[in-house]
Amino acid sequence: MALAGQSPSADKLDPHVAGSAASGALGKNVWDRLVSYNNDLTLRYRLAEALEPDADGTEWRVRLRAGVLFSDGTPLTSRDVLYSIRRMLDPAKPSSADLSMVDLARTRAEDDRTVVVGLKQPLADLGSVLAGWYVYVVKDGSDVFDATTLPVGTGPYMLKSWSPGDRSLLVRNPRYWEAGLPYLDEVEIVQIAEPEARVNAFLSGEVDMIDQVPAVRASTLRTEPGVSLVDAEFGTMAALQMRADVAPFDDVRVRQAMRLAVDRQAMADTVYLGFAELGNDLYGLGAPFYAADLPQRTYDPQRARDLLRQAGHENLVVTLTTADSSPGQLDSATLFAQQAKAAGITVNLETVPAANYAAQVSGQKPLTHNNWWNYSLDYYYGQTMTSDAPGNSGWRRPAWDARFYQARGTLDRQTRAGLYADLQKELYDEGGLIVHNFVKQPAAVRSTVQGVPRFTLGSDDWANYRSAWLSA
Amino acid sequence: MTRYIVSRVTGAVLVLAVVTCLVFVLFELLPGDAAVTVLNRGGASGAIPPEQLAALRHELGLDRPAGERFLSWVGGLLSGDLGTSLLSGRPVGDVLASRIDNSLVLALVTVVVMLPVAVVLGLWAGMRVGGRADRGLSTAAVAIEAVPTFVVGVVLIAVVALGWRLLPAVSLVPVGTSPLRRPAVLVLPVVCLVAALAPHPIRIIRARAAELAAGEFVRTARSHGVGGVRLVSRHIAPSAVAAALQPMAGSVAGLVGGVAVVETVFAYPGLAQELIGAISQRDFPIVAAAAILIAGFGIAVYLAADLLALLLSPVARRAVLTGRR
Repeated sequence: MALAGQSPSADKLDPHVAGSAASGALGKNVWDRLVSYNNDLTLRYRLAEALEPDADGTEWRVRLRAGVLFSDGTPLTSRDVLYSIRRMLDPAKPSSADLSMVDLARTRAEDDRTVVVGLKQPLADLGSVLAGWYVYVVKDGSDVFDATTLPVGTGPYMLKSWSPGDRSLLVRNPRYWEAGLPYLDEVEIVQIAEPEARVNAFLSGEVDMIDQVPAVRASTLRTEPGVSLVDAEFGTMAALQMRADVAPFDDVRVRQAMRLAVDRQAMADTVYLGFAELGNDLYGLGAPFYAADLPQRTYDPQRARDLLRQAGHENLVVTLTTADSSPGQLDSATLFAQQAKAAGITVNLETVPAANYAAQVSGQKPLTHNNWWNYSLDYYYGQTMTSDAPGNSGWRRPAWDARFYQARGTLDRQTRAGLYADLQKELYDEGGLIVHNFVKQPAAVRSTVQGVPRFTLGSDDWANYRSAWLSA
Repeated sequence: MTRYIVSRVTGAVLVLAVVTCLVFVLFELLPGDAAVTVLNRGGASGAIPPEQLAALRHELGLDRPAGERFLSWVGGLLSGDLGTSLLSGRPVGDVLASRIDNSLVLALVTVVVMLPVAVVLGLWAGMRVGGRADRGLSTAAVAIEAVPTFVVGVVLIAVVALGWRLLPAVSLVPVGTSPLRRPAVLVLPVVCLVAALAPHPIRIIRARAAELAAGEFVRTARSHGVGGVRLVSRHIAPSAVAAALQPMAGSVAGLVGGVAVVETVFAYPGLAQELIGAISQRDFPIVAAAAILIAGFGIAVYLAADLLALLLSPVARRAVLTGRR
C-alpha cells in the first residue's frame, strides 16, 4: 500500500498527533477509536458499544465492547480510555485532537467497561467528536512511540517495524476482536509523497494499492487491465472562501454574485474529469443534516452582473490567493478566472507556496480555497463558523451562533434537524463559501487484492485493510 | 604549494560560514514556522487556536529573538551537536544518516559514469570537427541539455519503465539497505542525471580538443610521426580535459540541483528530498545541516577539481607556484 506521508524528520508514530495520510492508515490499523465514521458520516461503534447522554447532554456514558484485548494480551478497560483522553488534553503534549469541550474534572471510570465523560456545554453528538482523526485509544501508561518502543494496540494489525518517512510493516494481530479478521498476514505501508510517483510505483508493480489518485491518472487507470479503482463514496469539498468581513465581500450582493459566476459543471468536467459531485455552497455533502433539498445553484453570469451593478461594483476586480496544495486546485483557480469574466469580474491569481496554505492562507486572505475534509456539521461549524471559532472567516452573526449552540445541544433529532436546516438556509443565501464541487479521489487496487471497501476520506473504511484479501 | 592549499582550505571554511549565515537569514524570511506545521491539521483546513500556537512556540524555543537562536544553534554546531528536528524531536544526525548515503551513492555513480562519457565523446567529436559525426553529436548534446531534467525523467519512466517494463519506475530503497543492493533502481536516475550534466563538459572538451588539434604543437607532433591514440592521449587529452575540469566540477556541484529533481521524480529517498521536505515544514536544524552538507560537497568538488587541474596542466602549475595567480 502506498500513501502520501511525511519526511523522516517530521514523521511521527504517536497517533494523537500524527496527521499525514500514511500515519492515518497506520493508526487505524494498529489502534482503534471508540467510534468511527461510516462513509455517510453516521457513527460506527468500534471499541465502544454504546454512547448514552444524560438528560441534557452534559454527561455521556461510554460503554466499552467486551472481550477486546490489546495485542500483548491485556484486556481493554476504562482505564485505557481515561488515560487516552487525559493524554490528548495534556497541555504539555499538544495533541491535535479537539476535545476542548471535555470537562476532565467530571470525567471518570464508573466500572471496568464504563466511562463517564463530562462536558462543559451540552452536546447532542459526542460521537462525531470522538470519531475525529486523532482520537485513538492507546494503552494505559504508553507515552513513548518510536521505532525502538513499538506500541501495542487493539487494531487488526500489530506494528512490526517503523521507519519514519519511509515505510512501516504491519503483521496480523491474532488477538483482534472481530472474529476471523484480518485476512492478510502482513501489510506494508510505503510513503510516497508525490501523487505521480505513487501512480508509477503502482504501475510498475512496486505496490499493490495506492491512495488519492489524481483525476487525470485515474481516468486512464480505469481502463487498465488488472487494475480496479475503489471510489470514494462522498467527495471532499473543493471550495472558494470569501471573507465576509472584508470589502468587497462584506456586501452580501457581491457574495451572491460571486456564487453565480462559477460554472460548477464545467469545473467537474474539465478539472476533475468527472471524479466529482456538484457542490451547492454548503459544507458537508453526505453528512447527517446536510441540506440536500435546497435548489442546485447554477452558472448565471447575467444575474451576477445585475447584482454587482446594484451593489455599485460593476467591473469588480478581486484577487484569489491560490496554491498547488491540493489536486486540481490551481486548475480550478484558472478556470474560475475565465468563467467569472462573463459576469464582468476580473479574478487576479496570486500564487503562493503550497506549504502551510491550509493553516496560514486559507480563510485568512479575502479570497482563498477551502478544502476541509469530511466531518460532521457540528464539528465544522464549531471550528469555522461561530463568531469566536479559531478558523472564523468573517461570518459573525450572534443570532446564527445562538441557534447553532442550541442545535448542537438539542437531543431531540427532529428539532435538531429543523435547526440545522435553518442554519444552512441562511448560509446558502448569504454565506461566504462557494462550494463548486466535492472531489472524489479514488484509490487504485491491483485486481489480485480483494475486499477493499469504498470509503470517504477520513471514514472508518478509508485505508481499512482488515477485510482485504489476496486472490490467486 | 602548501601555502596555496592552506589558503584554499581557509577560503572554503569562510564560504561555509557565509553559507551558514545565509541559510539562517533566508530561513527567517520564510513565512510560518515549525509550530504552525505541527499544529496544521493534516488534510483538513487551518484553524489553529492562538494559545496553543504560542505554547508550542515557547516549547520549541521559537519565541526567542533570532540572534539568540542563531548563536545557540552555532554553539551547538561547533561542539558537534547538530540539534534535533523541531517536528519529531529526533536527532538530526539519525534522520540524515541514511539519506546522505543514498544521495552519495547516486552522485558517485553518476560521476563515475559521466566522466568517461564526457571525455571520450568530447575528444572523439573534437578530433572530427565539422564532420557528420561531430555535427550529430554536438546537436544532440545541445538538444539534450535543453530538455529539463524532470522531463527526461518522466519520459524515461513512461518509455523504459512503464512501456518496455525493463526497469523500476520508482526507486524505492528501504531505509537501512544500500541502493547498491538493488542496482536496477539506480539506472534511470543516473541516466537522467548524466543526460543533464554531461553535455556541457562534452562541448568544452570538444572545443578545446579541436583548438589543440589545429594548433602549432600538434602539427609539430604529427610531423614527428606521432599520431592516432598516442597523439590524443599524450598531447591533446590532458590539456583538453584540464580545460573542462572547472565546467565538470560545475556539473558535479550542479548534481545537487539535478539530484533534487531526480529524487522527487523517482521517489528516491535522498538528502535533497529530505531538505525540500524540511524547508516546507520549517524544520530549521534539518535544513541547516542538509544545506551545509550540500554546500560542503560543492566546495570540496571545486577544490578537488582545482588541485587536479594543477596535476594535469603544467601551465596552471607554473602559474600557482610562481605566485602569478
